[in-house]
Amino acid sequence: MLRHLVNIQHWLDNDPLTDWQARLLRDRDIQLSAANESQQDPLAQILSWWQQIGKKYEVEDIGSDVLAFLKWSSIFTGLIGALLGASAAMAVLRYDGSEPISVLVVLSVLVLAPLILLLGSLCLPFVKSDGLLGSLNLGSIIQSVIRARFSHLSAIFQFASVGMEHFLRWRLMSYSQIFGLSFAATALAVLLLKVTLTDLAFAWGTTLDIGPETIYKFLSTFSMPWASAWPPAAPDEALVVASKYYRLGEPSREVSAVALTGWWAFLAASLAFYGILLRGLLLLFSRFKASRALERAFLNHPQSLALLERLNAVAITSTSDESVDESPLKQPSSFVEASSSIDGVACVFLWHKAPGVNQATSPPVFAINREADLIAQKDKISEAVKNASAVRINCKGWEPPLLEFHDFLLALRGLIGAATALVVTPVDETGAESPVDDKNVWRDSLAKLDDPHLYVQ
Amino acid sequence: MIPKFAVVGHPNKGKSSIVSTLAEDAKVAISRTPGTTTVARSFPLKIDGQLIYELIDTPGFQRPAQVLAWLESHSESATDRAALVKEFVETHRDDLKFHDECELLTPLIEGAGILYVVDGSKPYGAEYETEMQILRWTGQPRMALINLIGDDDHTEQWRRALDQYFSLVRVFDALHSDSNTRLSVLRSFGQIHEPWRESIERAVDIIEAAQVKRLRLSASRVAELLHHVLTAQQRSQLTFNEDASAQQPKLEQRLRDGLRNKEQSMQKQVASIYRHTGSMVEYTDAKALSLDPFAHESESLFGLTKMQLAASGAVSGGIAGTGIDVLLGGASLFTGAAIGAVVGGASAVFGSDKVGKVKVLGQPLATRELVVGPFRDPNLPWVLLGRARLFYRLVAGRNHARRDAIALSAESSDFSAGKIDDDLRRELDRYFAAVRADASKAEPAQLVGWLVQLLGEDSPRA
Repeated sequence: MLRHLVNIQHWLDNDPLTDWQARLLRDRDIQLSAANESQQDPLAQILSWWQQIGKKYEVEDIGSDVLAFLKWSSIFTGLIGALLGASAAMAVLRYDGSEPISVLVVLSVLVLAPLILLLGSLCLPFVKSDGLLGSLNLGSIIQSVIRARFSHLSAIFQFASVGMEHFLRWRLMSYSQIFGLSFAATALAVLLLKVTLTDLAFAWGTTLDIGPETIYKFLSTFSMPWASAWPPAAPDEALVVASKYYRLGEPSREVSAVALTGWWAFLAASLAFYGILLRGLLLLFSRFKASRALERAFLNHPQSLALLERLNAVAITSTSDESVDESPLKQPSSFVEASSSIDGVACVFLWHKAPGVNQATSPPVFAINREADLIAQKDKISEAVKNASAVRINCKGWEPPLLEFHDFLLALRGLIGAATALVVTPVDETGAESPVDDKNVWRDSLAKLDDPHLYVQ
Repeated sequence: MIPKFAVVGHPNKGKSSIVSTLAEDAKVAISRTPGTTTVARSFPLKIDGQLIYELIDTPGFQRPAQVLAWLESHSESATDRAALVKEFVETHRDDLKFHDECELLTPLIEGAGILYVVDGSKPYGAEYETEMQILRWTGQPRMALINLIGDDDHTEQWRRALDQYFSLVRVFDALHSDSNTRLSVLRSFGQIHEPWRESIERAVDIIEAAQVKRLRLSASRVAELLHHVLTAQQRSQLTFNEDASAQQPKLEQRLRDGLRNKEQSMQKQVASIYRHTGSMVEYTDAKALSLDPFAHESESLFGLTKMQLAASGAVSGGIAGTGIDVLLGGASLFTGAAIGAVVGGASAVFGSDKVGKVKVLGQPLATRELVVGPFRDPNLPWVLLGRARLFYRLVAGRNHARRDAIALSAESSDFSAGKIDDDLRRELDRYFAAVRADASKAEPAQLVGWLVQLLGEDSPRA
């Protein structure tokens, strides 16, 4: 899971598609092509998507590096635990035959002290990983090293992000258990080795006024978990009484050396139960919790949430698939705007019933709606434009010039000759001069005709 | 059969604008120069890859009178009109003179419905009747859309003429219509031909649902930004003897830059969700968005007032103080919460710690780490929220046909935190304080829900 989380988030952080819509189309397409029953589960959706992404793109497997680093960190933690366990066991089980080994010392160093630390480690999931308690943990040191080693993945390990903090806390817990487990396992191994290869004599002694009955009560309670399964590993009262030992010696009591060897089974069982079994179970539990927290962190990561949104959104496209010629429109050639001083307008043409002519004072007016109208009035127009220097064409300035108008102008030019000025006058609804924007539209359009005596007034 | 709709009409009447708005495609070429569209271009609406309907942008009529003259000269009876239109296209397909007419008539002879576009802000002219007659000759289902490009209104005049040629006439402002109007117009496409109704209704339903989804997606992006501002940190490894104070300004700068980038990323994503490309900020006259989020002006425009700041600080301080009360089993009679509230409120108003806390983490045996952040300025999330709302308003309300700067109908100060409903503001305040205290306990979905409510109210559609 961690490998996937790192790889997927790292890939999403560097997604080759930057546009959200483009990502939506890609991811939704993958989702639809891979749709099956498991697609209801968000995690399954993401993993299935990731499988498809792996086929389409080259993906970097940074997650393996992180995973390998964590694996080696675990091994390192285990080794330190083992080293400490072996050293501690060698120290407390040191026996030269002159004095028996103190059961209480062995129990305190190899079982009780780690047990107290274990109880302390139970607080780890509830403290901040970078807080004071968290910092005292070996796992926290490893975590600092991870941050330094994978600083380029800091966005993924956003320690404040939902779930990630929980994952790290359980990870700390897990490191603690690995350490404790290897400590106990090595200590047990040393004990068994010593028991097998050498003769060890165990006894117990205390300066305090504590009698064998109290010690027996404590030890029988302590060994209760395995007493029924392995009775020799639960010390009986006779052994406890017989093992009471004063270094100064009690001349009145003879201690049997054989009786003092009976403690090893109890110590082995204590290490196996409290050191290995309990730590092992806690290791499994913390790994399970870390994995759940990681899953939550994975699904709550902003990139994952956004991905899930894309996977489950309906992809609607309505843009054109067809490419268009992006080349700029033909630019009009230079065009001379008519000055208001053009005189001698012989007649006026009203294109499509354009306004702007005072019938009482104006020269002859011809209504033209199509090229055919020009042909129909050909004789009258020829008469009107004889020896004229200019003719005017009024047009609706708010309407753009169609090519039909170009056709008309070309036909008119043929009729009146090349030298007569054609003055196109775009007018507004009242017959007044059109706004500049409208005039520009006309000017740009008519410039395409390349007529030196064509003007827009 | 997949419904197709050809958008036809006179040049410069907003055909491409209508297509751009309905297809949400800001790349459609729109210009005042007649003849900008030279070829018919299809805009298929696909839902999860399945074609639902097709919108076709076409060039405008250029020689309608000559086309009609040809048709009339070849027609013998009303029964052959549709066939004659087809014959005209086949005869003139390679004739450059009728290139535009062939382009616009081709989809119609292939079965497309007609969406005839006129400009209702300009007076009606009899010359349009030529075009309408040609369209009637095709025999295809047709409706007219009265677009309003200018300020004048000649709609009624147009309606009287169009009613004679089209079974349905609708007014549709391609530049300013809201999403409800767009959907309503789209729905009316299904009314001109019964077999198309089901597909169009389905499309409208899905688009309607997608609008809601868009709002939610945008809210998620804003929620991400807010979480970032509340939790972002910058870290740097230190050597054992390295002075942390030398690194601190660099990390602070990186923290600020990171937030700016995050905000820009949010804006790009929201724009993309609404299919707007390019930087929307460039198109807008909402100068407030150009301000730096850390600028004092941004704070005064979008942030909380002093009184609200004090109340906000009291919430954060109160939450911290309550922790002490809990530890003491309530024996403190909530003094912790009260003191926390007072201290928090005062520091929110008078505090000048804008960047946030700085700490050096590390163990004697491992690396040391300088950590800067998250931001402590209580106004910063509100500033970002206000800016995000303003940006959302601009993006969600902008039609794709527009190529001009957006004139905001609301003042930037309308998006200040102080104008958010009191209850909602308190909820948000508590949420911000809780995320600051422990981000791992936050429920982003809750924040998204509130943001959906806020953005929904800001949406021009609402």
